[in-house]
Amino acid sequence: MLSRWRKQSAEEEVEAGLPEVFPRIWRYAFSLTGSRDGADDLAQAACLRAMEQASKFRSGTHLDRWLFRITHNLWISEIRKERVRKKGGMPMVDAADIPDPKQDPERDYDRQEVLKSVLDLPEAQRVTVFLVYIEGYSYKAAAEILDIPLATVMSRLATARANLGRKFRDQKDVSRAR
Amino acid sequence: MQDRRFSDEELVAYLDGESEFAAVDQIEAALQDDAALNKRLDALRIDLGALQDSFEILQPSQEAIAALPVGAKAPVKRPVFAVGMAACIALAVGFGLGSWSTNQSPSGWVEYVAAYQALYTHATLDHISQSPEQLREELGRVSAAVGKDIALEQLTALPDVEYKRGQVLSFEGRPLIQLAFATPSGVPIALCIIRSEDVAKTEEAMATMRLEGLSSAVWSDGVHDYVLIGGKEDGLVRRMGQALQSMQI
Repeated sequence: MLSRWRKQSAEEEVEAGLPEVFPRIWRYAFSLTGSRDGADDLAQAACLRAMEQASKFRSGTHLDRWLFRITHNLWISEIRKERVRKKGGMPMVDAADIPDPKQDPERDYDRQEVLKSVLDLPEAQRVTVFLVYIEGYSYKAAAEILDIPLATVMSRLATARANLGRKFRDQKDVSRAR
Repeated sequence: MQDRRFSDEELVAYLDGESEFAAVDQIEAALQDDAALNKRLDALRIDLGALQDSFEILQPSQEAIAALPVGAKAPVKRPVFAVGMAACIALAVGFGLGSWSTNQSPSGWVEYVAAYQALYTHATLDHISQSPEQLREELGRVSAAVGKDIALEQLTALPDVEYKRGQVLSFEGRPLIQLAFATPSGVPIALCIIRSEDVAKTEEAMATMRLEGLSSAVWSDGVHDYVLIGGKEDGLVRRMGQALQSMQI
């Protein structure tokens, strides 16, 4: 039985890599769902889907991108639809789910405000900002994960930057901006 | 107005270092003496460091991480699970275990169900609250997916647990249904049912075991295979399993 598992290197690669990527997938799931419960459900569902489809993973390619794509597809194809159906619309981000300030109240307050600014963006901009600016993916990689044209990535980022730029300038200086 | 040559998208690509999508040299040349362009560029600047820093406060709970049935425990998990399965085979009480070890993938439906359930936390079912009408409608639809007609009263009659929801999942293209219960303290317990693949299969008595560390009971009526799994109260799962089996759910 074990020898058969050893042959399934793609599946082993997925299983071995999941825990490391999980916190990133969870944050992405939070960005999509706007709540901790929603993030738990979506991230866990994505991991299960990944385990189910592990044989389809091409060994040696980017596991993280594959997992982000699964998470996104799951959100689009099933969970978001279900939420809209059940609740009559998409929920707003639940500010209560953003952690409270702890060690450095002032810094944490700033971080919460910035975080909220991103989470308040329309979904299309929010996910693109997350993948490119938080995860650091190239435009091309983000376009592949989201399955959208490169030009759409660019226009979403331009709009998001204009929106965020306005909000950030209201909150603090832009000395570190680029 | 020289800056009209550059779109916002190009300017953002410039800021992002995506030189393939921005005329970097031309933008930099224009920035030397074009105040309007500088202003536009400034309007598009954001503090990426602060942005990245802000997301650091979003971390999954330890519970959610610990619930992952892979990774840190992966090197030992497979052998341990294999030992567990070997024990099941040795006890000769499993259902269809012979076909498991020959024709089917080693990650059979029971392991799939166990892995799925291991991801559930106390919070998974907390927010689910449906009216009896909703539960009945859902149950009718879900149970039909495996060719059954389960009455809501059969599920709500079980003591010690509250029936929460039904879902259709899939295992290797076959529908698999999950009926989820919660104990008073919120521990999720699931009854999963799939049609038996083996048409010649006969009834299998209930066997109890731990799968993924969770109390589990498995049985078959020859037409459907059943797994009841969740929590660590072996007695509760055994009692529930017996009750479900006796009512020929």
